Amino acid sequence: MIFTELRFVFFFLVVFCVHWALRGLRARKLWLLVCSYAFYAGWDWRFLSLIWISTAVDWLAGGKIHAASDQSARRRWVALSLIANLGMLATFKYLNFFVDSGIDFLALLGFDTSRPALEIVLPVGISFYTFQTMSYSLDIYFGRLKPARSFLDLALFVGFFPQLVAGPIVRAAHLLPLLRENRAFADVRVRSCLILFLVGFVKKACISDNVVSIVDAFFANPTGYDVLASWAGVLMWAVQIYCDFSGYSDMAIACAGLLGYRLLINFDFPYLACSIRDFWRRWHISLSSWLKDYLYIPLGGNRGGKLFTYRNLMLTMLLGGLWHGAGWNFVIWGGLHGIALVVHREVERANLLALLPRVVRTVGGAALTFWWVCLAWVFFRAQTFEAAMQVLRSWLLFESDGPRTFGMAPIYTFAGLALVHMLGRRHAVGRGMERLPGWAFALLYGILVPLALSFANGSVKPFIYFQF
Amino acid sequence: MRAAIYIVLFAGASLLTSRAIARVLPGRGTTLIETKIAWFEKHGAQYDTIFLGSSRCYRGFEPELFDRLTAELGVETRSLNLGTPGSRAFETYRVLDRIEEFGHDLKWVFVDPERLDWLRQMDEDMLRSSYIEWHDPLTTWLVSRYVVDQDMPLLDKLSRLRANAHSCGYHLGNIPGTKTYVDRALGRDIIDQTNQIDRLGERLDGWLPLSRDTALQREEKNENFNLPERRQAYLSKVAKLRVDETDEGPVRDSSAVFFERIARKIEDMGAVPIFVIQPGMKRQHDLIKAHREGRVRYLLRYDDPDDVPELFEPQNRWDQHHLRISGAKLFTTMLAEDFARLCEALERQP
Repeated sequence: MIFTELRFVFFFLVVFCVHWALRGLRARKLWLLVCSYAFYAGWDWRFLSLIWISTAVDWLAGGKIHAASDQSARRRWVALSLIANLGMLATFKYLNFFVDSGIDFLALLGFDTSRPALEIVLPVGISFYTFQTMSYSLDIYFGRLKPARSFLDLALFVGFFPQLVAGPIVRAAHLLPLLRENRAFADVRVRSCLILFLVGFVKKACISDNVVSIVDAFFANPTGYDVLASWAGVLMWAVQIYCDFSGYSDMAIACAGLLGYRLLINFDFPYLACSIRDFWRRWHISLSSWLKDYLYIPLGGNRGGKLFTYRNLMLTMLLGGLWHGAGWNFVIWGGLHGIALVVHREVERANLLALLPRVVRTVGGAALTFWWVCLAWVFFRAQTFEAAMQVLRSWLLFESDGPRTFGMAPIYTFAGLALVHMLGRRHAVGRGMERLPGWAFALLYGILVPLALSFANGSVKPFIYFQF
Repeated sequence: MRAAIYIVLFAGASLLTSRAIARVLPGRGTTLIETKIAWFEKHGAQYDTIFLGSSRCYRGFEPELFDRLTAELGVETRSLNLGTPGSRAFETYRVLDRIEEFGHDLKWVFVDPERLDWLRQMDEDMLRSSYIEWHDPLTTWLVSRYVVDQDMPLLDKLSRLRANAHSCGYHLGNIPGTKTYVDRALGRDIIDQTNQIDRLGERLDGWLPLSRDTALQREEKNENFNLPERRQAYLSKVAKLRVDETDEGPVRDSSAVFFERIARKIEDMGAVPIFVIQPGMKRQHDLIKAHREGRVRYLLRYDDPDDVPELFEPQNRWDQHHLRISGAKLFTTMLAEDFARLCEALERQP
């Protein structure tokens, strides 16, 4: 059940109505927890056990870390949390990758090994909720958080359905205090949430889902397209992945908001970033901040010398790439972003940017950043390394033998992107809606929803980040 | 109380907007049926006879031959084949609903509604745009009644009802209503002169025999029945068909309503509805019983291997469901002769 499906609307309506009809805080949380598990069970009920294991391990570890008197005991318990969560992730997500890579490496050395027939299903959302539960234990270990007061709170923090399967990765320090408050419906910014949900729906169902077949056709046969079409194909993929992922985040944040829980934004117009560092402050903010706080800084961050800092940056981005998928193409994607971050640091260090006029720094920086991001997206999407190289031939060398073009498709795609940027601009539209009289908003929303639905693609396409 | 008012306002605005949008949006049928409907909209006044049905109709009715034979038999017809693969009674009704608005001179409408028990197998395909197209509330209600009336496990019924309601929700929401415009903007699947011939046939009369289908790119040979085991399996099915008798019991209302609805629509359009059962592997018991009880007036049957053995000969068939060119010509000839006799009988009636 994905957010753009009609049955999700019915599901959410039931959850919403019962949630606000219940008066007691504990009853509301129990109801949300049951609904969250039911939502996840709709994907695959067998993997509920993994969520329960992750929750139980971090409940135990969090309590023990907080109660432990000496540092070595604290380290042991946080290690338990990391081993359990990363162990699940490694088994279900990376085992095939490690085995295949090992066999390929042995083959390079001349050893012929047969591939074991491993058919491990990737549980939906495992990358998200394991990172979420690890952040709980790590925050307690670092002294930034006290353990959850009740198991119910922790269970709901881990399993909260709006963000369970594809983020945003919520920090315990943010959500646990919210779970302790019994909110009133009057505090909910209903209109902002409804508009945010609609914007997310337009991004996913009207823009992303409509261009997916064009993008798929391009990446299935990149040599069949001319140079201009190759550029357009990559750009449309950039639009597709942004609208798909940020659309999901918008809908998740809107659903959580309607239930009284304000989650932090996960995308802040990343394609308007003026530098690669700015891009990572705007794209998948919950992941990039997680990587910064729990990987980059513990590795040493920028507290050592230049090379030490660059090592930490590269490691963080390579692992960040690997988080997205068990494949070398994702590692390359992460590596390209790492290289860009290193170069950016060098340029900043040498103060080269100050030599340029401000408008060149801003516009040129945005154009260069977007160009590099799109280049890296090629590895994220291409089905094989060879296909990625074929696309890059057009992208970098302006060489392509193919005859096919896209016509007006890229223009319309970017018009759609411009529209959702305008609608989502600093949530001004949502804030504006809060000022309308209730009856006027109801009528306006009643006009906007059918308009948006009529442009929806109609066929159910899973969110791209569900595969992570 | 205020919340209830806002909900009512929202629902009312949504309903009015979605109905207003529906009036200006193009159809969501398959590309083929949309091509045919567009053709009929432009050229409908040229035709007084249409054939509606599934791929059996699409491949099996040859309009040019039909018109020539009926003219020789003393009945002038100008016919068009509006058959499309996968089409059933509900889609046929929707097509009639749409072409009713165009200017036309229709006198005869042949309909092969196909078996209704396909509704027992509804699955996620219910979200295909061509299925959403015919899921208006009334049709959805009738389909639901049919499903409830069937002898199936309760869970299966609930699953079918859920899929049905889901499609109806998409229909009311006009999803994906702008598909044609979006496809055109994105350069997908544009209907142009070249693929019009691919879809409507060389004579642009809607007939596309299997052996000349450029999409299939097959030669005219009986490849499906070349293998002995395939031929034997087919002949066993034909033998079973010979002994498959329609029982004496009445037709269920929930089934008959689909045929009556189509007949009434055609009569409202000023034409005569003639139901046809083409040579297939299973009996259309509902339609046969409906005709027996007088709920369907005219029915021409070609589903009995004893009555029309040549239509079941492997050399006249493409596969167990469809006729080859030779079979299509035979079938069209039989239909023309039976139609001419029907017209004679109608003229003799007081």
